[in-house]
Amino acid sequence: MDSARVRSILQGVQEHHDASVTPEERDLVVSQGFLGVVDTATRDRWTAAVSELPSLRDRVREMSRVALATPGPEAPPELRQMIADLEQATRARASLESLAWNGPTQQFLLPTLAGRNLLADLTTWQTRLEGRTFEDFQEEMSVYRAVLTHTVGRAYAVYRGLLDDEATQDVEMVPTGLLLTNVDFRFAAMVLAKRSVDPSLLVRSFQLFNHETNWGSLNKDDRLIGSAILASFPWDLGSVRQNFERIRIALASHGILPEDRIIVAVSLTDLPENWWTQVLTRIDEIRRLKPSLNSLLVSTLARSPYPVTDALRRFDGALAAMAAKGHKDGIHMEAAAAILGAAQIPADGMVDRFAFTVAHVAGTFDPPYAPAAMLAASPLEPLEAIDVFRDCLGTVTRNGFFDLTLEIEELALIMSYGVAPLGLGYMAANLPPGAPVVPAPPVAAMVPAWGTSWYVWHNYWVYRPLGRYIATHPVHVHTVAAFG
Amino acid sequence: MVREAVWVPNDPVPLVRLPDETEIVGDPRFEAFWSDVVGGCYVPELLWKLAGRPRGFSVSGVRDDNRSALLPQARLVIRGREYVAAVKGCGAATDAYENVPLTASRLRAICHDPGSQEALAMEDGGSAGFITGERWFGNTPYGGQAPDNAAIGLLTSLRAADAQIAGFHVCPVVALARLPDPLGALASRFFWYRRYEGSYWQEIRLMPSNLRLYFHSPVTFGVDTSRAFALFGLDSFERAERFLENLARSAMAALTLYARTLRHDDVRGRYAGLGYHDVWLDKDAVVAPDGTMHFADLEGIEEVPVAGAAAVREEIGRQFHRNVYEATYALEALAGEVERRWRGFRDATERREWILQVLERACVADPFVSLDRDGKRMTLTVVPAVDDDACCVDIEIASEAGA
Repeated sequence: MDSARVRSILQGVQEHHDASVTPEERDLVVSQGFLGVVDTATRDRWTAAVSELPSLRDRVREMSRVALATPGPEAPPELRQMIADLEQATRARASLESLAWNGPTQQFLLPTLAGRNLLADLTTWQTRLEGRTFEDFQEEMSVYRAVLTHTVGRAYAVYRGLLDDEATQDVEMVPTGLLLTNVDFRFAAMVLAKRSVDPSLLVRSFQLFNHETNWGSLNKDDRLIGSAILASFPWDLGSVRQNFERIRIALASHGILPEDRIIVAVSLTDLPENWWTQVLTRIDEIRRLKPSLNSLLVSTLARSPYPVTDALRRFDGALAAMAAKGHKDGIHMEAAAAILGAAQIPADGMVDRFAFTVAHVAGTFDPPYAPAAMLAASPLEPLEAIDVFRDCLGTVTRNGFFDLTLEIEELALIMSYGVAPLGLGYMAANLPPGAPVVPAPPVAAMVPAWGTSWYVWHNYWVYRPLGRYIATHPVHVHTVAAFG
Repeated sequence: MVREAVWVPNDPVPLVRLPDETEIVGDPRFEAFWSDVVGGCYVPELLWKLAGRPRGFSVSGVRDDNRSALLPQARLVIRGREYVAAVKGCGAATDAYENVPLTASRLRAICHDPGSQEALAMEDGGSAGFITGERWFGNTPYGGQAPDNAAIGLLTSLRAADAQIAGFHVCPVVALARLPDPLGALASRFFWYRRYEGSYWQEIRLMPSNLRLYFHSPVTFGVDTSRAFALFGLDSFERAERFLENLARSAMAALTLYARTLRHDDVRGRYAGLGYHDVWLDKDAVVAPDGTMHFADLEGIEEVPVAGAAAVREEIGRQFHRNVYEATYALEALAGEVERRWRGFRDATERREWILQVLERACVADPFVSLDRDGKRMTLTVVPAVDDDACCVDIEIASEAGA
């Protein structure tokens, strides 16, 4: 059957319209649990039961009060039966309110949870369904969700490997504040799990960078994101480290302060060497034009596919449009504007995309601006990006890949990078190389290079604030044990 | 079918059951349980050692809150729901004035008994709780329980049948156990500032789980909702919806406790119903594996007398609004988790509509409340147990349903 037809059937039933479903169509959707069937006799029985509901409810309440006033532990059997009838009638009322008449089969149809979720899927992805049968669509959605589950499984394997490995390290000499926590390891594991290779190799790579790199910094967040990203590249580890070191050293002579050098260098390490000079020159130019801009935002704009003046115009335009929509200014708004400004999406619609995503993640992230911009910068449509994010949320939750509920959203955000159903996944093999630093017309359909940047933004604007919150707000911080 | 009790794994609490010289005041309906299964009072192993090791039996409890422990080996089924025994007042795990374990070395610092001082020097640094003689929160020994508080809990519990008072579910207090005097005297030698003068008691109560709404559990429903789902085996939307129904029904009963226990004292010409005193749903109630919220700290529930029907109506409204946020938080936490796991709602508005629909359905047979929708508005009518014509109250439960 055609997907659009299935959607129209489910939509019709949801809105209580006669969906004119043929017997064949009915058999298909009912056999898969997307709709229930109710015959006229059953509907009449429900209607009769519901019409009795007010009087039955009054009788139950009256008898309950009498029973409560009478000594004895047991409610009379008659009352228990009436309560059961009442509960049944209440359920019948809810079902009755959901029924939709179907002329061709002379039956009523009833929406189900599976049907509601399928309708949501079909609505979200409706513009991508061309050339696909409904069966293809279902198969592809099912494979996509299985892949999400598999990714979490791989993340688990990496996480366990990192924990085991850490247990063998001589950590006694390391101050507690510098030790990576379980929360840190889950973050790294989720980044690494995006690569479909043996988890033990990923663990080894991570620990190689973690323990054997001269970070020159006591900031464990830098070490975490650095090790996770460097270990995630599918290249020779020695070359990756060398590139990272060379960029970090080069950044010193381009005005990037020591405390920002690791994260900025990591954000650029995926770029081919012949682009470095150009990117560093652009960093200088942007810093000259915007001296107070955060270093990470400078590098975000410097590696965008737009000339510096265009990139900054997009940045300023995004800031102004966001302000016009009532968002306050500040560093998080600047981050969002930089992410949008650097994204390969047309300038006209970028803030509308942002407005859509921020409405969905407000309350999920605090502040929500950078993550909303990350989702808006996706090559997917905003509704689709949000849908993928929600799928990731569900997968992380159902598989219990977290200790603190607070972690779920941030892990889902990492996970959502690059994945999509219906062949729309935009991460070919792990992290793509950077976008060429040449003037390029912004074309939404282009495959962007957001792997490295995505993880760095996430780490800087989502993970670190969360880490600070967790560190300063132990679980149940408001509880004073001695009060219990 | 019995719905088994569930508890969150937590630190073990080495206790010693003392069957001798323990005075027990119990609910006669549970006599077989408290005399045969519980069988005495439970003191921290360290206190027992310092007291010269009187005849007793080692028992391993599970830490619940600061001064309580679950006794997983002692369980009882009431109307198809299993409850596990818990001892309140069997030693505090945490120092009274610092958020650190109450270790032997810390006990030495507050010990006013030279003999015990010496003995404590031999103990290692571990902490498993101790009953002290510090006067705390009124007149209660820190880590133990005072007789008057314990008695209030028992008296309230005696009003319950099948672990509920007119639909309000409680963790029944089955017995109070008084520590043998030599142990009480020893405990009273440990204090920071003010010495507690009085006898040392414990409450033995029955709990369907130790998962609280927001505070005072290693896992709480509001903070670790996902863990709670795993603990309770909520692995489908349908199960979660049934759980929500039970949670909503029992929460509504808790919010209307005053109305459902209202009586008129013809002699004094006053009304009285049960009210909450310094106890709250977020830390003093636990959630059973089927979602039914049970109030655990019955020592904080006592009658509130008022003069006339107007005051009754005011008290009903006051009680509802005092506690409704915590109940709503639990319902929202559950619905949020359902949305994360199984989606099923288009947006937050639809999710809240679902909560209100389930709430309406859950309360349909409740004789003390009725929920009515008027457009998008939902109103709760509270019908008290007596004088419902004069004392009935309408409360807006949602100004715009789901919005």
